[in-house]
Amino acid sequence: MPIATAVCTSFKQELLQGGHCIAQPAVGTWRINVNLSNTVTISSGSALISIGMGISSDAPIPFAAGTRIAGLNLPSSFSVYPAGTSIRNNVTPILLPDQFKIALIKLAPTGTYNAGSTNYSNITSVSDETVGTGYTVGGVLIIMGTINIVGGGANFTVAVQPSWTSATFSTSGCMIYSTESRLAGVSGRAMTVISFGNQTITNGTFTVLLPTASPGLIQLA
Amino acid sequence: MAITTAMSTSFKAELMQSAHCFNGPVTTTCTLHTSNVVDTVVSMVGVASGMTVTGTGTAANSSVVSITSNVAFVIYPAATSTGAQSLTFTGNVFKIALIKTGMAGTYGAASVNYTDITGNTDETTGAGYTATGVAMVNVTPVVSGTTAYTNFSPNPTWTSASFSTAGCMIYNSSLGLGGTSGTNTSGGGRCCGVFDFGGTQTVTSGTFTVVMPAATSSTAILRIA
Repeated sequence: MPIATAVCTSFKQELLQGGHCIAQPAVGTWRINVNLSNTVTISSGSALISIGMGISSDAPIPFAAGTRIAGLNLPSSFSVYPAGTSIRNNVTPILLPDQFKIALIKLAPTGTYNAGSTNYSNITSVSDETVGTGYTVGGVLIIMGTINIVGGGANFTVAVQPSWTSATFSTSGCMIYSTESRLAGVSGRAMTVISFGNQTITNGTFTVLLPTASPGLIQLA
Repeated sequence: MAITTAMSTSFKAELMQSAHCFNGPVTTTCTLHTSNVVDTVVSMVGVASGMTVTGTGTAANSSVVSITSNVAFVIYPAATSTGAQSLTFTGNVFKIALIKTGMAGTYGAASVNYTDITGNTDETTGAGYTATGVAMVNVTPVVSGTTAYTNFSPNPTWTSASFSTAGCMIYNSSLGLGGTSGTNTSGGGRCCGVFDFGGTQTVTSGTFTVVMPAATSSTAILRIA
């Protein structure tokens, strides 16, 4: 069955539901004070933070692994869960938005992939994922780039083009999907599917040339 | 100056940052544990991180921090009681503010925040109108064909009204995303779109209603095609 390059319609709906937080993991230019409570005060600057985003910092990290932003009382403070694990002032925060992966689809897939695709499970349920040396089930993480406003539209890019080294496999396309479950507890929600035509790599590095500049990977014009 | 009907460009970028949740309210049964863990959720449909949570046993200003499975989530602040409760999850609160005739500012795709209006003292004044406008009722986004869209229902109205207006701004009054938006540093007030009414509209001792377009994939107030 075919692959037709498209932004998934469900992804558009999920954007309207706050279902995806797409941004580059960002070392803040702002500073925070952390203590043993859930309240973090902002000592300087401000940042694009939203409830549910992960947060870490420069070392020594005063947060437990998996800490998330739990409430906003801006511009002076915000809440985290769980509470801070040590007392530190003038901390450089690192924001951790949603993670997205790119999974490759084998040659001659059984399923049909297009705007109607909704989830990574569309691939796995019909055993359509690429197999071969150098490829791991689930694909690889994508390091997202920046969100850009260009003219009257907005887009986002990737910072690093995903690649597989020491690879020997064939593929005809890919799906980019979220590994988060911020909407209804369902992970694997599809962003887009892309057709490659048949591509084969033998003992080499396979790279998907996703856009690192405007008009970006996804554009709202 | 003028109003040009447009979706705000900044809003497009904010959609990608989970800054806006148009979900309508949903109510379901959950189990509380006097902690931040809520489980045995009967249905997670329509629930997203960042939505507010109300109901017996929840603290003031409670939100969904993260959804850990299809039957459990983390709430903050911690629940104040234990046991099964019916909880209601609510998306962001969107408001519609009216813009006066003969406005000083220019409103269009470049509008970013409700403070664009207040900074120019451009909000409508008059009997029946309160500054910041009125809150609307979200209708959970749906898809039709390859378009996603959302709507508000019922239509926003002002009763016992006597004022004139030339247009409106729909904005998110919830604290969806930090950072600076226009002159607003609290995270609120981010503009979704501005709408020209096509001329001065005047109501005198009556009900003023902004009629939302039909909720279809080609006409709804907010659409991603």
